[in-house]
Amino acid sequence: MKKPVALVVDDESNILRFVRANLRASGYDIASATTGTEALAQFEATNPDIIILDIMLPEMDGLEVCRRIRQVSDVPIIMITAKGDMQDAVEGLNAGADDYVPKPFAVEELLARVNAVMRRTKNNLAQPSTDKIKLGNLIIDLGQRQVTINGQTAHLTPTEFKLLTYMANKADKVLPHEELLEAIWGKEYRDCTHYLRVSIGRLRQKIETDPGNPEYIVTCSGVGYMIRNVKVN
Amino acid sequence: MKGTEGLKLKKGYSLTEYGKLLALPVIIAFLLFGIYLGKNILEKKQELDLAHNYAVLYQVSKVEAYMQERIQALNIIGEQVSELKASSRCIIEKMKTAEDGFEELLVNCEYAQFRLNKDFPEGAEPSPELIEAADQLVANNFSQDELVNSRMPLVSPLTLDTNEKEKIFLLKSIRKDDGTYCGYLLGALNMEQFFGILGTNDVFPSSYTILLDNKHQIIYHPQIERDSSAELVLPAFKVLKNKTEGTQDYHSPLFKREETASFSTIEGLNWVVWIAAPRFAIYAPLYRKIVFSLFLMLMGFFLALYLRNHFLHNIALPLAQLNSTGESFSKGDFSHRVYFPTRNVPTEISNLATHFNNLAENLEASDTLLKEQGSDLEKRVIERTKELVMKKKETAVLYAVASSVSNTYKLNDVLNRVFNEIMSLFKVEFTIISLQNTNKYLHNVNKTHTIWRVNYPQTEKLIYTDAVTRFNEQAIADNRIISIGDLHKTDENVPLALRWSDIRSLVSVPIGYQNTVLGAVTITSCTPHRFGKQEISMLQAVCSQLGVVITNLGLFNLINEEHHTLLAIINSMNEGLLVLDAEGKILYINPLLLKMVHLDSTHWQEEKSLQSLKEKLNPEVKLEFPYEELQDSFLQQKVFEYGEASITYKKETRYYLIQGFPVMTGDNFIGYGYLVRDITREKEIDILKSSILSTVSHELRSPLTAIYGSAESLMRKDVEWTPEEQQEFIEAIVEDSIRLRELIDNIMDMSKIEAGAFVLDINPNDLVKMTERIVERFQNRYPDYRFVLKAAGDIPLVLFDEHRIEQVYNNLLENAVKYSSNAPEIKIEIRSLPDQNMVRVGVIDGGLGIAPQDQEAIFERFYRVNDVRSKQIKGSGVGLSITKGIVEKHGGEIWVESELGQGSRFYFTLPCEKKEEEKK
Repeated sequence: MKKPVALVVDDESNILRFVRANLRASGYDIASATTGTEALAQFEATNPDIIILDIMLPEMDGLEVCRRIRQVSDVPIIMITAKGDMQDAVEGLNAGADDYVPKPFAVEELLARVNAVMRRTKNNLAQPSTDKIKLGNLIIDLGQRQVTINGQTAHLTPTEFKLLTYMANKADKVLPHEELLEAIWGKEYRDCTHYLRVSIGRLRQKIETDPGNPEYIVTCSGVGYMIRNVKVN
Repeated sequence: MKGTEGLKLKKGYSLTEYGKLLALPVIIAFLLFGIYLGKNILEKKQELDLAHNYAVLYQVSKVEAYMQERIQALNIIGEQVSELKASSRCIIEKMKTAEDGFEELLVNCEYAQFRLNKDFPEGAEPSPELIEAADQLVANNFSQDELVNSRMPLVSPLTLDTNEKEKIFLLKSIRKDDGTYCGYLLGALNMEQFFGILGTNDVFPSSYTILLDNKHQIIYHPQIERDSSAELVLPAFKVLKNKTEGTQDYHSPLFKREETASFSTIEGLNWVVWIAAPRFAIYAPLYRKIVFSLFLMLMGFFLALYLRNHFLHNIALPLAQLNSTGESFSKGDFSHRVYFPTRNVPTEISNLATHFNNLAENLEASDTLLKEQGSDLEKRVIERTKELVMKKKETAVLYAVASSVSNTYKLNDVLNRVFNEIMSLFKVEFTIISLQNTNKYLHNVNKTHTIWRVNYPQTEKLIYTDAVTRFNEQAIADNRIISIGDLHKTDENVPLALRWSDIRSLVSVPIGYQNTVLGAVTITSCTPHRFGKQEISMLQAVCSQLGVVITNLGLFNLINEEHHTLLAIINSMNEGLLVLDAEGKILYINPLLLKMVHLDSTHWQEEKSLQSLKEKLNPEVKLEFPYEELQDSFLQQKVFEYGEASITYKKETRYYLIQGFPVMTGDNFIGYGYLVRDITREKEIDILKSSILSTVSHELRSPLTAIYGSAESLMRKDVEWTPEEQQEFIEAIVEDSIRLRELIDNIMDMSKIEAGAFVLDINPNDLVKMTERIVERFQNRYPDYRFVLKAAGDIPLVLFDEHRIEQVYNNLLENAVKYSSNAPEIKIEIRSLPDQNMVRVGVIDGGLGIAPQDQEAIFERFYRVNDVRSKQIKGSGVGLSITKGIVEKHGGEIWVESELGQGSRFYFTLPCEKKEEEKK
């Protein structure tokens, strides 16, 4: 079986070195880059299965790299952030990253997150289905992994797709934060509500006509979220 | 109304004008009359001329008839002579019948020769002398042709007969049967008889008839017996050469007068009848008529003149007199009376004058009466007026006292004004006001005010002031009015100074407000018993008014001062203040807040609502103000509230903290205020702080991550690392540990610099040598770059700490390398600045460059230029800060000259060692 390819991007050679070594030890083929432009070139060259991306990069920062990749691919991306505050993390998630690891991080943690992200992606692949879920004008094609809203295709990341599918399966029911986080990201993410918040925000951007005044995904303040089966006239 | 207007003449005409108007018809009448008379005269003249002509024609006809008769008679006789042929008897008989009118008849023919006259009534044989004379006469007067051919008798001109008398002869040719001439019948006219028919004419007085023959010889002239005088008449006959009939004016030398003659020629005979008369006699009726007409016209003219004068004298002049008298009446002069000098004035007018005079008399009488009554009334009015003037003055004083406050808030000014008013009201010699119990809000008021109207020496004034002040004080102490009518004769305790002074009377009135006595006013006069009840009550009124004014003034000044203090506090606040009332109307905006939103101070005075004030904002000013949120919380909860606002003007955004607070008086909510504090600097610091924090944390975390990750990797039991890998991990750990240490050292240095605990080991050193060494090291470390050292001229020894300056070089060169990857030449310049006794070092790269706004800030700690390109370049942001600290500690300066994209030139200066001579 072909080994999965991991693209590691960091300008700190020492960090790059140990991350690479550990991933290789976990069974990945490694591609690496030290600048943003190099990262994009490597992405095109190697078509990686996962990308570990530092935010602070010369020439083009990691957020921009992430956004550019997201335009063409749903590949899982884990951001490495050095600035300790949440703002960085949220920016990363908003740019389309699936997860983030703050510096300094333990090798075990990085590997665990890589696995979690890979698992989420694999789950999608493992459950091929021909079913379609219809909520008003929102159609989720589980087989094609495609979402159309008002006849137009919306491009969702695997996490977003998984979240939408999960909620759509339990339409018109309030889903608490914890349940959603556990179901989509994994048990270890139970308390990371900002992941959920960012993803819901991105989903709304993609499927709601007016994201500020959502029609499908409604907030149940302090509890969780609910997707509504909107009736179409 | 309309009727009276209709009666009015459009234009007033005077009587003379009316006279002129009346003259016009009179003149026209005269003109017509004149024309009529003229025509009459002309007609008369024509009538006279015609009569003259008729007279002539009448004479003509008479002469013609007479002559015709004679001619016919002679003709018949002549015919009969021819037929009878000398039957003389018969002829004589016949001749007798025709004898009338003839003086003598003579027949001389073949048949017979005889004559017949009064001497020979039965005829006689003419003598041969006579025959001869007759033949001679015929031959002289008649042509042979006439004698032979003429059938009718011929008439001779005036001819002298045998007796030398002028006679007219008629001749009838006698013919034989065959018609041949055989002799003549000659008749001499009886001139007396003939003249008889002429003399009867009397057409005009003195007129006379002249008869002329065909040769214009005078046949008959009544006045001329002898022809000797005939030539006197002849010139007038010249006219007959041209005219057979007509009229002729001429001068008659005979009668020595002007004459007019009318003449006509008798046909057949060619005689002229001439009737002349003196012209005067002819035209006498005409002249009479003219004279009469002139007389009539003159009479008419004089009558008109008389009437006019009569009218003027008896109507117009009296009326004018009435008018002028009436005019003087209207001016109030009733002394004039109307008298007319003539008695011809019409009764109506004289009656009118009488009434007029009566009226004037009555009016004069009542006027006199009125004047008498009037003077009494006047007296009373004057008294009343005086009273009123006094009252008015009093009111004016009271008003002045009251209104003085509106002009000034200084008590001294008010008092001065009151003084002046009192002096002008009472006209007294001396006034004094004392005040007590004044508070500090009455602005350094004098305790005692005096004012003099008389000119005493200063010392005397002081003595009197002192003496009068005692009354003032007495009035204050007793709170009562003191009035002394005569200081010389009073029982009251009067100071000696006043006993013999000019001041005779005085009144002191306390100034009070409610129950407080504030002071007193004393007015004095040199006249004894000058002040009556009226004056005292007036002064009392003034004093009570003054009391109110003084009290109010104190209160006003107190409030004013508090207000000003408050305003000064508000205006000196370093915060904007906005106060709204409960309805949201603007109560106050302090100048600072207006400045914040770039508005004039006039705007909020005009715009009472916040919304309209917002519309006044410069469109470039972008205001984000949580006005509604704050207002909501006020209206509902009336509690303190906070918010943030931002104002963007000309691309510069400033941040403000808004503190809302309810404005309460006791428990009453009257509005809400906002304190607006500029927190832009705090925001900036905040941003800078978080930027510093993230920079530091990044700089710390990166090596830490490498160390942590590498170490952990080594510790992994589940992975077998190759020895090379292990070596790499360990090297990474060591490398990043060193980096961490350097970072910590830098931070420590910076802290030291900031705390001032930075100690240098300064010695005179060769800067160039040391720089060469450092440049060489960098060249080895960065072989891709080219380092060029240029030392200009003679560089003296420089005082510096070698280790620290190396640090400076390290920082500057590392930066140059970092920020100029695209231009790998880096110049190091060393130059001596002898004037300043300094050496300047420049580190020049051709890299990114630095924007002007960042050039100051890069020397601040943890500042990193906020630029996409520079963001990707690693750095702690402390290097330049430390560099600056080191250079400044040396007594030098550091600065940068740069432009974006044009590279940067960092310069720093270091002091040189002091020269030899200076050392001494």
